Amino acid sequence: MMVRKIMLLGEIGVGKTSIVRRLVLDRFEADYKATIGTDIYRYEVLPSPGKAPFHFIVWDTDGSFGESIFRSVHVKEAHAALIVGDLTRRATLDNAWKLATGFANALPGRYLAIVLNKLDLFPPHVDPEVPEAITTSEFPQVKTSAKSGMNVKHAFHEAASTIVRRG
Amino acid sequence: MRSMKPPARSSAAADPPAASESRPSGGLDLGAAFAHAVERADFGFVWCDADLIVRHRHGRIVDFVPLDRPLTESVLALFGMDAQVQSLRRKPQMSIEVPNVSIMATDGATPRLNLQVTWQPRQHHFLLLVSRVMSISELEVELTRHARERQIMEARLVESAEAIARANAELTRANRELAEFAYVISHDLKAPMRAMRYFTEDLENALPEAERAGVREHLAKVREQSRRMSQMLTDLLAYSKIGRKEEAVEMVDTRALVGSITQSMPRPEGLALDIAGHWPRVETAPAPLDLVLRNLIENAIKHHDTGEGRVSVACRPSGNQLLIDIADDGPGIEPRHQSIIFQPFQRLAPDRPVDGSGIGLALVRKTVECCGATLTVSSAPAERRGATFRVTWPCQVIE
Repeated sequence: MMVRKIMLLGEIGVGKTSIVRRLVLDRFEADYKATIGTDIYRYEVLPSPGKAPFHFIVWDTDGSFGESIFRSVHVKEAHAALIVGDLTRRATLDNAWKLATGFANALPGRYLAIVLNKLDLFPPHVDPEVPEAITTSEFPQVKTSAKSGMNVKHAFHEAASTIVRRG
Repeated sequence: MRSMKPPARSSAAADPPAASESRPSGGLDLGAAFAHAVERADFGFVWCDADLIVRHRHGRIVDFVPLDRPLTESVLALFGMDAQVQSLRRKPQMSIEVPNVSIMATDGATPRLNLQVTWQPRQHHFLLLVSRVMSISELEVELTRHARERQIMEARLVESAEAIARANAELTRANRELAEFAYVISHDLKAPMRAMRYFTEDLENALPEAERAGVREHLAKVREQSRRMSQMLTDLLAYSKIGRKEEAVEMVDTRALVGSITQSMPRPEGLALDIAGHWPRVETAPAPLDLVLRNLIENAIKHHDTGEGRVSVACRPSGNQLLIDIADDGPGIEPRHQSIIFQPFQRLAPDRPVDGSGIGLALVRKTVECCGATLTVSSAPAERRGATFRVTWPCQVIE
């Protein structure tokens, strides 16, 4: 069995908990409840991207950690990170970019993707504006909706596939 | 926020087999009492062997940790830390702490926990002390959550304010460009128009007398169209300027105002012009009111198809507004045309010769909108001739 630790990072209220709860419990709660501390989940990636079963230990972190999380040992053994931003709040996308570069510096070579959440709040024909720093970066990006479930599994499965591929 | 630090002294917990055994002491069963307390307390202990396999546990709070399984299988917060935990064997005075975590599962979640791992060299065991987070009460957690929610709302407000500021800046820029555009139209385009008229005159004069007669009519048409276009450009400039200037409010004698407008207005002899009702003194911006009345009265006169009849201008104060009706007994306006007439340069009967470019009612409507007034038109030519324009003009009525 392959078990890997993945961090969910991002500003307060961007939807980290909604994403992981959609992933693990297939549930979405409209009521916002800030995560105080850290919630830890286990998720089996199905079908497994490798020969052996693949599990993620998902660390849903308190958004108030900000960049200080890289000065703690929280992320030390992390194999990957999904950095979440709220498409309706530009400042959270700028912050996601900072966190992404922070993670890449703290753990070079680890898988990292930027998750642009709350896509459901835009009409279908509207392409939300994303900072150029993100769109032109080398980090994979995925637009998600924790509310509808759109691309949530995909984001984690991509991470798992990349981790397996890299060995 | 995991750290290695010297552990708190916990001699009872450091002795796994004894913790749940009874030890008689002067008739008191302290061991049983301790075990009883642990079972009900907000803390618990887990002992693991040197390979981090769970061998003992005490306390309901650690019920989620199965025996004889690797510790990190259930205590997910320690996953991947085997090497770090093992390093404690070389530093038994140190500990590894993971504060404020909750381990989630499909069938529920642990309470919020503080975890502390130490190595107990005497027993050759790892000890995991698990305690419920007590430093943050439920109330404090709720307060923190509310503070976070407020933080998000404030961030949203700031973003909205920035978006509004950006939109305002864009609007200001667009208005400036429009003003510049209007200036270009009114000034730069009028000059070549003027030049065209002069050139047609020069051309006419340069032609031998014998050839002039053949082109004179055409040149006159060119001049006329040029003049018409110049007038349209002038009107367009006037239209674009409406509402862009703060109009000063002053005392206005509305009877005197309407009198001065009608006195100087040319009209066919057979067309009577009545001023009726009560025209009070009011506090208002005189220039926009003048523009509205002048254009509506002029419109009624100009579009009267017979030149015989009556145009009536009546006023009635109502609260802090004037209700002004401009009525005529002309051809009227079909209901389907009643919105078109307020568009610039629109004419319902372009074949009928009427002075002006056709911007008068557009000027009126824009002025009315800028002043917070309203304008309606009622006419049903299929039933009876005539049209009535009603203006509701906000102002401070003095008398």
